[in-house]
Amino acid sequence: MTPGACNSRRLTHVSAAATLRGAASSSSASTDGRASPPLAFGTLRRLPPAAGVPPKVSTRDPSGQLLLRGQEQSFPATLGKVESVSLAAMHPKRHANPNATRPTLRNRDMDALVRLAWDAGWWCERGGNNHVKCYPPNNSRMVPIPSTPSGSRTKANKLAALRRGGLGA
Amino acid sequence: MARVHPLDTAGNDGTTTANAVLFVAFREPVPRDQLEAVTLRLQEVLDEYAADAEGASASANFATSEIEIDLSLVSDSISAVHETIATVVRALELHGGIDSATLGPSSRSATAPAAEMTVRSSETQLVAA
Repeated sequence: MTPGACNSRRLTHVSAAATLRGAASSSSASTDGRASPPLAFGTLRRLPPAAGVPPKVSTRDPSGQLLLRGQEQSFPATLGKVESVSLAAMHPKRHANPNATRPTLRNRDMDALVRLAWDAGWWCERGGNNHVKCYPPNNSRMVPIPSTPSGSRTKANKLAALRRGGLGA
Repeated sequence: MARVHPLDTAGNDGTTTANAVLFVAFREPVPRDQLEAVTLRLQEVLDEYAADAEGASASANFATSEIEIDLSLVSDSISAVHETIATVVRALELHGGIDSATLGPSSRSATAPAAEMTVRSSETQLVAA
C-alpha cells in the first residue's frame, strides 16, 4: 500500500464522519476556513432553506384550526411542530406532566370532545360518576364530559360550554 | 355574553330552536372543590329529572363562582321554549337544592347542599324559528 492510497482512504473516512456529524459544520469549515465547534454524534441541525425552494404552505393556522381554501398561510421553513406547540397556551398540569396522556372514553362523540380539549392545551382527568373533568389553560372552568351522552343534544351543549371556556378562540 | 351556535338543520320543519344558559350562583363564596362537586350533582339532576331538555350540560365557572347550565331546546314555539326552561328550573329546585323563588335562605336547607344556591340569571338566544 502506497502512502498516497492510505491518505486518500483517511480523507474519505473523515469526510464520511463529517457528513454524519452535520453537513453545515463541514461546509462552513471548508469554505471560510473557520472551524466550528464539533457537534456530538446524532445531533440534528436544521439546514437553511435552499434557494428556489418554495416556502411551506400550511392548511392550519398556528392554533391548529383548519383554514379554508385560499386562506392558507405560508410559514417559514424553520417553524417546526415543536415550536408551534410551545407557543400555544397549556394548562399548568400539562407543563408539569409532559408525558401525560388524555383519558379516553368509549363513546365516540364524547371522546372527540375530550380529544378536542386536550389538543387545545386543556387538562383532562377522570372524575367521579364516570365523568372526565376538563380544565382550560387558565384553570378558570371545569367542564365535565360524561362517558355516555344523556341525550341527542349533549354534544352540542358540551361544545358550547367548552367554547365559552376558550376552546377554539 | 355573545354565543352563536347555529344549528344547520334547525327551523326547517317549523320548529323553534333556541340556546339558553342558566347561571346558578351560590349566595356565599364556596371553595373550588365544593363548586366542582355541586356541578357534578346538578349534572346528575339534569340527566335524571330534566328529560324535556335532554342533553343539558352543567359546567363550573371558578372566576364567577357560578354553575352554567347549557340548554339546546327545540320546541313548537318560543313560549314552549320558555316553558321547558321553567321545567328545568323546577327540577333544579326540587332535586338540586336550588331556591330561586326567594333571595333569602332556602326553606329546604335540610336537603340542600351546604351553601344555598339560586338561579341568578339566564340567557336565551333564538337560533332559528
